[in-house]
Amino acid sequence: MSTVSGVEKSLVVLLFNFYKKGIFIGFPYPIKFFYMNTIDLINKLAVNHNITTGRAEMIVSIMVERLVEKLKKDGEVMITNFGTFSIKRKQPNSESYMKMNEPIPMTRNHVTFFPDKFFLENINSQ
Amino acid sequence: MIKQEIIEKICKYFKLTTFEAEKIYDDIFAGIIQGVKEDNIADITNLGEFIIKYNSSDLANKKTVEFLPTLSLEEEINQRSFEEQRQFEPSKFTNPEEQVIPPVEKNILQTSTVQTITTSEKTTESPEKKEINVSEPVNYDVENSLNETSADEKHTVEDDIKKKREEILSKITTPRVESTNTVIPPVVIPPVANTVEEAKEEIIEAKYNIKEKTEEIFAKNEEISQKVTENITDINKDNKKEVEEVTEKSFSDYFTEISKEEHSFTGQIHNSSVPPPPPVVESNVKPPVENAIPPSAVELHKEITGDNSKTNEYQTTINPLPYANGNGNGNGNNFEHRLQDNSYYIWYKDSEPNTNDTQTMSYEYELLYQATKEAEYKSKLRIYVTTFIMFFSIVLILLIFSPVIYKYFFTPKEEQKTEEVQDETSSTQQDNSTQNTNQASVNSLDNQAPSNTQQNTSGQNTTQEQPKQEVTPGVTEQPKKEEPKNEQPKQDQPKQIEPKKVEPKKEQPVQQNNTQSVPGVTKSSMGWIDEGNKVIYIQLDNGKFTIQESAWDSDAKANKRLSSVGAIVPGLKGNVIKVDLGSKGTWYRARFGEFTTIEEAQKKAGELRSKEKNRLQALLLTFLLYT
Repeated sequence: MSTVSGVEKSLVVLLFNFYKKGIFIGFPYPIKFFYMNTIDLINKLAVNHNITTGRAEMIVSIMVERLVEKLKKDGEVMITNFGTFSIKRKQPNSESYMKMNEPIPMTRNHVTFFPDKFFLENINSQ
Repeated sequence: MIKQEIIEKICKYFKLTTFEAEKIYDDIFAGIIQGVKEDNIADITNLGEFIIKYNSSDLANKKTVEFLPTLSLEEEINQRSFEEQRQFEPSKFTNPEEQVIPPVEKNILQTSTVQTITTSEKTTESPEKKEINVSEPVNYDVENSLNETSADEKHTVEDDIKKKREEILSKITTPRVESTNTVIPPVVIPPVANTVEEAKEEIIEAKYNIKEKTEEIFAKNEEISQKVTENITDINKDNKKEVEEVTEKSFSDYFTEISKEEHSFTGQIHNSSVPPPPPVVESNVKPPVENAIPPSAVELHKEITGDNSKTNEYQTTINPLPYANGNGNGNGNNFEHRLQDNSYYIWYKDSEPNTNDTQTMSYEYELLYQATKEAEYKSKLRIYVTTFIMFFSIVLILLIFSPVIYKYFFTPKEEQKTEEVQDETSSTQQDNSTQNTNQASVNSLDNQAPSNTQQNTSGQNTTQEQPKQEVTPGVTEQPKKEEPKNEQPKQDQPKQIEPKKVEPKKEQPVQQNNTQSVPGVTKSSMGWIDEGNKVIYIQLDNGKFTIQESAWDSDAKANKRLSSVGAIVPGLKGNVIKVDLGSKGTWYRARFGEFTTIEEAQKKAGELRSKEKNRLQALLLTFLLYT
């Protein structure tokens, strides 16, 4: 048997690496690239707690809805071992707009997130 | 707080225990953290993305997390109503009075009415300042005032607690009162008789009155009935059919008659002089409309529903709808979703909303929704996965078997090979190069020596090489008979010639009888090389030939090869021989069978190779069919 050439070998290795990363799995639906998605979270929940994916999806959606409502109401939401979401009112730099001779936009609210100590430690630990 | 709310909601909707819901809640955020840690980005729909950011300044926490909200979240937060709420909401830690009073007025108040300040906080903070600011001196001492304030505080707290207790107790003890919005009608209590005699007299009078009144009523009723009969006779003359319908009275008709009688009775009481109005005979039943719905549509409806009661007429009476549950908890009979038309509507998400529907999602509804969603998801996934597997497997097969395919479809012809080889040999002979040190070239040189007598150099080479390589005279003599066309001596075969052989010394006495001229086989120091099958035939001590099929780095590989060959060609037994080749390392040679002649060995080797080829082709075909 003749040997496989270097280019072919490298190609196969590359493909295998992609496969391992999960690029081709279920393409084009559900699309999964290198970063975590809600679908992954839902699947993880479903596997760990023996519930259907639909239920897990509902739970996540409820949680997000509730979180946003609370944020709108109080302007700040603190979640233990995760972080705090808060709303900040950011005024636009009026001078720059004046110089450009453009209408100054209205002040807008921005959501900021401050991670908890536990979160930061978890990320920085190897 | 938010945790509790979410947990409660999860428990309510999904019928889970609080412990389970709490676990799920914690697991969601733990999952997000893990995702951020592993993939650097975690994307959550309707919320945003958590991205890792590197900080060179902080050594302890090099990585920090940044949150990028989604557009939907930003839009929701920047709604106008929300902004207004935020602007006019009084802050938690400030007194509402201070906010209401504008700053200018506040100063005036401070200057004019400093004397009236009686709050406990201000006295405790700055009693001296007060004295300075006040234009007129205050009469009471500071210590007394302090004591008083403290006493007042105590009193207030205790009183508050007591009041609250009383309120709670009153709420519990007192019965529930209806809401203020509902207007309670005034209750009219009848006058109570003072004595029993008076009461008796009244009762007797009432009895007489009632008797009189009843007699009157009966008399008038008879009159009314006579009039009714007269009317009926008139109507009979006009139209007999209508009268028949009237005589077959329905429930509603009775009801109308009674109501009219009552009405007439009341009228008589108030104004006896006014004669009662003649009773008007009316029927709720409308005349039937012929062919209102086309008969074809009715037949179709019957086929679908299986009801034969439906006619091609409008519904004359409308049945009142029974109590409809929005949750769809019917007791076997699904009459909740029955419309006036006696038809059913499919109960799904986008169906018509019911008036009794609540905002809360029912368990059954949720299950149905889940089932539909799962089915959709599965069907989609199946399609995509199959297509993906097909294409991916085809690509993989092409990549893996590309050398094999190349071999089978793009192999150069044998004739070209031989020509090239011949050219090479001629060039080497002319140049007298010393590069032809390969053991395989020895035979060819010997053969060509008699034919090309002009070249003495070749003869010299052979003489030089003969003592070194110790080639037997028998071997050198026999190839002379063979034709030069069949010989292909100079083809490079580095793999097969790599391991040097020392065996031919021992084989000298036996070789003379067995060696024969076989087409496609060349002699070398190793043995007889078969290029067609890529195999070497080696003579053993007992004079028999074996097939050296391959050589391997390790013993395991060689044994594996033995087993695989045994599976392909049943009855072909083999063995492994270990050889040390110095710098080239140790090699394990796989040898198969014992044959009296080379031809037999060649046949067996050919069989082996052909079977291997067939097997490969079958594998390829199966893969292609599978895809």
